[in-house]
Amino acid sequence: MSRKILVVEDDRTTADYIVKGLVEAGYNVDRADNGRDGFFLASDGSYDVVVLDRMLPQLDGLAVLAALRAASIETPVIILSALGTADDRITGLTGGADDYLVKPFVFAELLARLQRLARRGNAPAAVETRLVCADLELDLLARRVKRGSMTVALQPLEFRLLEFLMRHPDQVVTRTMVLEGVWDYHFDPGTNIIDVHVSRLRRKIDAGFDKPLLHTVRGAGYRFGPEV
Amino acid sequence: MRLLSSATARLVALIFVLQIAMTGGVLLLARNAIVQQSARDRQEIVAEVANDLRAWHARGGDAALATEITSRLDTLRGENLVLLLTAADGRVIAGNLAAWPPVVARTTNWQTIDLFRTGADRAERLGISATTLPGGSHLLTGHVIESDVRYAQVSQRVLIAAFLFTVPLALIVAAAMTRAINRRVAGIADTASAVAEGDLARRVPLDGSGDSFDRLGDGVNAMLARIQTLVEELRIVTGSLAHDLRGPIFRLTATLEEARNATDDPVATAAMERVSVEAAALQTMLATAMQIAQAEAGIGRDRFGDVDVAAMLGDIGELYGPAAEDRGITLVVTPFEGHFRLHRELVSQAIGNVIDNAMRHAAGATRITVSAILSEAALTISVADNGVGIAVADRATALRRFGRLDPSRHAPGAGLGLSLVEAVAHLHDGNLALGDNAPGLRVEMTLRTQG
Repeated sequence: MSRKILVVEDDRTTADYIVKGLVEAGYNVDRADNGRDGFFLASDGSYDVVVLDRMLPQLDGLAVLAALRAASIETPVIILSALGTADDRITGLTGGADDYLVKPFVFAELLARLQRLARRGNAPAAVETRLVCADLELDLLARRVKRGSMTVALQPLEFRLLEFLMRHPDQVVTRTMVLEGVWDYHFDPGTNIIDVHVSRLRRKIDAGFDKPLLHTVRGAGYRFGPEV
Repeated sequence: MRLLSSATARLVALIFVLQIAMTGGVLLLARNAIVQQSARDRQEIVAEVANDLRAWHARGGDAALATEITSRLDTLRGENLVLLLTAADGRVIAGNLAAWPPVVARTTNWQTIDLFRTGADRAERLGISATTLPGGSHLLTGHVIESDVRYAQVSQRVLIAAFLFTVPLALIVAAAMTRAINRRVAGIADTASAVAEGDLARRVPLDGSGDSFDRLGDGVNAMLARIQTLVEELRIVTGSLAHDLRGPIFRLTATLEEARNATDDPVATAAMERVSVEAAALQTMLATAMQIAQAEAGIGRDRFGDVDVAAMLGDIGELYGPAAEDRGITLVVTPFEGHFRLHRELVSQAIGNVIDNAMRHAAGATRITVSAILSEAALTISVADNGVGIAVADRATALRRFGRLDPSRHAPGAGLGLSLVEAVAHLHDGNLALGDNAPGLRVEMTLRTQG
């Protein structure tokens, strides 16, 4: 069953770009170009994810979100906004959004975040004590990592980074998502800060093994999982 | 009320001196009036007695006058009188003076003099007049004014006592008045500092009396309303500017992405790659410029929280450490204990900016040290490197918005990094300073406690 996405965006170019990309990625997409129509469509609760622009004619994005949440519609919502400071983001997230993406963004970023939300919408994450991917095993209680039969010694930070990646298996994870997930920072740290961390982790878990688990996705970010 | 704060002390002193001057002046005036009046009274008495005696002389000559003088001196009313009748040759005919005093002219209107009366054991102060009678004899008429002098002395003592009583009273009044004035001024000052700290809706309380304090408060309130409107407009402008500029940049990158997917031409792909790098740079610049504008406008203060500074610096060290190491630079975070009220995200970003600057621009640096000093009211975070540093003359340029030290602009960056750091410092009531780390640059960001 293909997933249903609702895109509420008044800018035609942006909407075309998002819809085209989502359709190519195999999603079933509906669109609305104002807040009122968006709310009307979203209120039946049949969508897996709603992509909601913050500045909309007729009904502002945050108002749409508030109305949906007031009506007990818990569909994951990802807000798109030109307002990009940390404070704008917090306002969006405390307003009930599940994620917040600042314009302009690359499509890969949106897709990665959307996949994560769609997945979460289906199966609420159980409390896990062990994460496994192929022959890599991460024990959250003992804080130990094993690849095959070998123990991998990781720094606390590298452990957190690996845990974050393993919690999103086979998904594209962008640099921004890593920074948010591991450090809770939402600014651009400059240069190649995140790449350095990832390549260090890669050296520890992938070096010397035939099948790499940590892949770089060009122009987007990283993906964790066996080769496809 | 701080008694020694100069303006207050001056105000108290001024009110005090004015009151003292006024009270003292009134007392002096009253005393002088009384003393002068009593002197005039004596003079009138003397003139009256002299007229009387001249009348006696006119009726009965020297002999009748002598009798009258003697009888007058015997009565109770004569107690304070000085009378003397001398013949033309100077011989005493009657009176209570032994001889005509040499310093008194034969004819004088009014003269004050110390004299011994006959039978007196001490000199007394007398007011006298003298006249030559028909027939050549001389008459001296006078009155003791000793009591007037005593009266003047008493009134002087009263004056001093009253004055001494006035001093504490005047002090109390001066302090009370100053306090009242200070209270009105404090209302205005408190409002101004609350607004400076970001509470733009705060207004000076007015009592509706329409006095000059009320008018001042009214003017300040009008100014604050204007500032609030401007800041709100700035907020709206930055918001819509972001929206309006991000739209085109977004469409630009979206189109590029599509175009890149549509072609395999390596030349076109390379060109588009370069364009998208520029677009990303443009977007970063725009975002940073907006952040600066917002921080300078005090937006974000409501997100301040009590932050464990050690943990925050540790996070930053962890984040930037490996990247620094890859460039052959050791990033050291000096151990530190303490909490401070700040905007974690913005302060982290500011410190990250400075570290990033040091990694990219400090040629020859092998070590970057991040340290913090916490005092009661301020937190100073310094990032020091041991690279080439910045010449004193160039430091102002480094701080200027869009200011770049590399004239050819080869190194990437928009020259907004330090401006953002400074704006974040301003948001925390602090400042940014560039110093010499001998060798290298030392960037010090000072944050202050609000309120």
